[in-house]
Amino acid sequence: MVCAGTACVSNRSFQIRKALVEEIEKRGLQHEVAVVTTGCNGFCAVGPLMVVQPDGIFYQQLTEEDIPHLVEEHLLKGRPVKRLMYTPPGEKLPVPRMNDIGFFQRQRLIVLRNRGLIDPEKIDEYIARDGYFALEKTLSTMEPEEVVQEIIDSGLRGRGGAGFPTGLKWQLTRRASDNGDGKFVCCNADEGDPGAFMDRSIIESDPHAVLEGMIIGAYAIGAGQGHIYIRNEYPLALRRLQIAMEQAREYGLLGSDILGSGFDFDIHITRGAGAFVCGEETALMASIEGRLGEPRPRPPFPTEQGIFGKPTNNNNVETWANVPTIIRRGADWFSRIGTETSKGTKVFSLVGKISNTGLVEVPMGITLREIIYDIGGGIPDGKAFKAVQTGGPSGGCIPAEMLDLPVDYESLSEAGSMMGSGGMVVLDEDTCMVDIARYFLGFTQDESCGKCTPCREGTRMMLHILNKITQGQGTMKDLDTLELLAHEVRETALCGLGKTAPNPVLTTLRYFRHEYEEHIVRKKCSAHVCRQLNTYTIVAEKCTGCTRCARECPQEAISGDRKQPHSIDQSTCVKCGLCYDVCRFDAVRIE
Amino acid sequence: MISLTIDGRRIRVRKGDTILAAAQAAGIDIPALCHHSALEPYAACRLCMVEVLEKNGSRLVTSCNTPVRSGMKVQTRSPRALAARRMNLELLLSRAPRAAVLQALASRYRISGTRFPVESPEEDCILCGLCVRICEQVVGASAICFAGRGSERRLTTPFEVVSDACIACGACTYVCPTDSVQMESETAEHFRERHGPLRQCRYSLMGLIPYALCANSFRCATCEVDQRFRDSMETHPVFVARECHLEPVSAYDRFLRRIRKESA
Repeated sequence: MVCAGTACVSNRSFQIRKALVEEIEKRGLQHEVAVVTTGCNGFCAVGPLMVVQPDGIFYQQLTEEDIPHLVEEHLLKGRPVKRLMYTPPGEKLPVPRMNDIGFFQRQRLIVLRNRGLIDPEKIDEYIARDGYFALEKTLSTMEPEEVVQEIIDSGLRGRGGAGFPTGLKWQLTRRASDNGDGKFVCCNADEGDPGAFMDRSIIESDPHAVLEGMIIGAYAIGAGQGHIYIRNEYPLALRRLQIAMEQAREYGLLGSDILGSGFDFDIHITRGAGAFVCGEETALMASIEGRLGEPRPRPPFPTEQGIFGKPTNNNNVETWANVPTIIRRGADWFSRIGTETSKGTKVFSLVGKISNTGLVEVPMGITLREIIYDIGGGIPDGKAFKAVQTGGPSGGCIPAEMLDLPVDYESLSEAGSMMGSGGMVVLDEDTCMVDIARYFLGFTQDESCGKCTPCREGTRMMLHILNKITQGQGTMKDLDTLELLAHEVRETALCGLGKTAPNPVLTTLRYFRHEYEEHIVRKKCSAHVCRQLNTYTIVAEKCTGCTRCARECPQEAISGDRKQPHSIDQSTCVKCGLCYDVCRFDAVRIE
Repeated sequence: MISLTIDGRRIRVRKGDTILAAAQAAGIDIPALCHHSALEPYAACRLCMVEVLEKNGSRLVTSCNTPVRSGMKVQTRSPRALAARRMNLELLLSRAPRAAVLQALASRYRISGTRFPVESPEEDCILCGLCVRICEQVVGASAICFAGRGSERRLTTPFEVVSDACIACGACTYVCPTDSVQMESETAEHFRERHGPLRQCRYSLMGLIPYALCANSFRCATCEVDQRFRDSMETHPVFVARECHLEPVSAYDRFLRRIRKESA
């Protein structure tokens, strides 16, 4: 089982697969050992990786040179190679079996149940793992209303961020009048948050689950046409989706008269043209129609008037991928997982300052501590944990004091953040929270469509104030203005993008106000991130006089003779930090 | 007919009306710069926000697109609604400090100026999109559009070239709340440069008069037909031509005065 998710592919997993196939053939093992290319395994930090079944031995950080040795030792002689196994940080012995590794142990797989187990480009492997069983069950034994009721009973909520109850949305679309023109179901795969790759990995590892969910949903809602809106920046996901659709059509699972039931349904793929705002459902629908991707006011809601004015049920990739398992195992089973109000599991992409970067699926209600320390393996290089940013640019920063917060829709929004689509960026002590707020706001300001006043002008003014503060020109009055402005933008913006854009600012103001005040009053950034607030000096004892900094300095502010300690002229220094970056002897000190 | 309460007054309106329409019918003024009754609600200026009281708490909505419900309680001047309106007014002022309508609103809402930096002191376009939408939805010409995203957004013609689709009807100038979109006298006369059946008058392009060559050599400012239309209609001719809701807007009167002054 060779992982072929995006992260492993970019680490040469296709070449490793080729080397593996060649080596196996060279040894005449091709009838004994099958090489399977799977979707993302989730443990992206140690890729490229592979799992040898049936024992479940996990190999990581492979190179093409490792392959001959691995084939000879493990496959021929039956001696697993310890050198290539995963060793948890701070421990001496490697963990051979995948399921014993902490990263995998605490996860609960529903959406990603087939990850690393099937080849996403082969429909037969999906079917062998009970794929399309739920569709067959739906079409042959269930009335559309029963399907809707099943989803309502399961308590499934939208995984795209807002957490609207999925069954209720289905019911609204089902009951909406279409004047006989037909209805649409739509899959939102326009994932664009910085540091988020859940939807991409789901499609890349199990595209049929999304298709099956959509077909079941279409049957329940009474839709004859489906749309998948996917980013053009996801070429691998797009290709696997296209392959999956072709295979499903060939098997009579998509198209007219599905499984002989008389139900007709087909799916059309629209590729996004790159605007983040097109992930907002009304903008997404405008984009599908071929118009400018801008949000429109609601009401009318898409469930009443969606694509081309017809009732449209819009769900996120992960929501659709949950559906087959709910139908197959029952609402009762599903609703036992999770908390009172948030049922099931959630996929998170764990990135930032964390040891085990990757994709995880956990039951709702798990604490942040469990995700970050038990699964994520904590912060690398012995640094201290500072905060976690959930929900991408729409979410907020949750501080270390709240590590035991359970992860569900309500707890996260009470903390000022949100579930979002599931990005989780871990920040360590070297992070400046003002700078983080500035970074995320810079992103939303850049991606604002410019239609409504608060988002177009408000985010720009907030960014202006944050830039002033990080450059040491902020005043306490600016801080009040910033807070007021953030509050009003959240209250009055037209769509979800603008309404949530101030969240990174509001949460950092709530939990890290002292850092803002430090920047304004003391003109200092204790994380040394805001360069305009730093003072660069050269430590004479450490300086070897290599002249490198003097040569790199754009202002020629550094002087000193060869092999003699250098010094920086503070009056001409522009605080670009280049001397600090280039010094190999750690002789430039930041104060 | 259903009844609701706006600012403590009981009002009876038709089902399906918006809060804004209900308030205007009752003589309650809510500023709404991107709204025109002939157009689909756009909800972009965010000045028409009002507070709707609900069982548990309240929420801010844009009155231009929110339909009334029976028994609804609306407050147009609650502290929350006013704070939202003031902030958006201030933000708009930082973009378009020259817009007279913003200055008038600012003095009404007691805002002395904007605390945000002003990039272009001469700017008067507030990007409400009325001109773009009237040209697309009512005239059907799509001769004006937005370009750029976010704070780069600006008003222009498609591909930034002089648009062939423009029929010089002047509907854009008529709806512009800030007088930012102006018609140049020569614009109407560009038809003179055209040949054959393309050489039509703007009234014939609007469908108000049959096709005819202009006897006045396309000098619209001194046109008798033009004069007759102005006298007989109380709104812009394009609304008559498209049979949509008539709504006199002061901008058009100003436009007429200016044209008359020019021709005098």
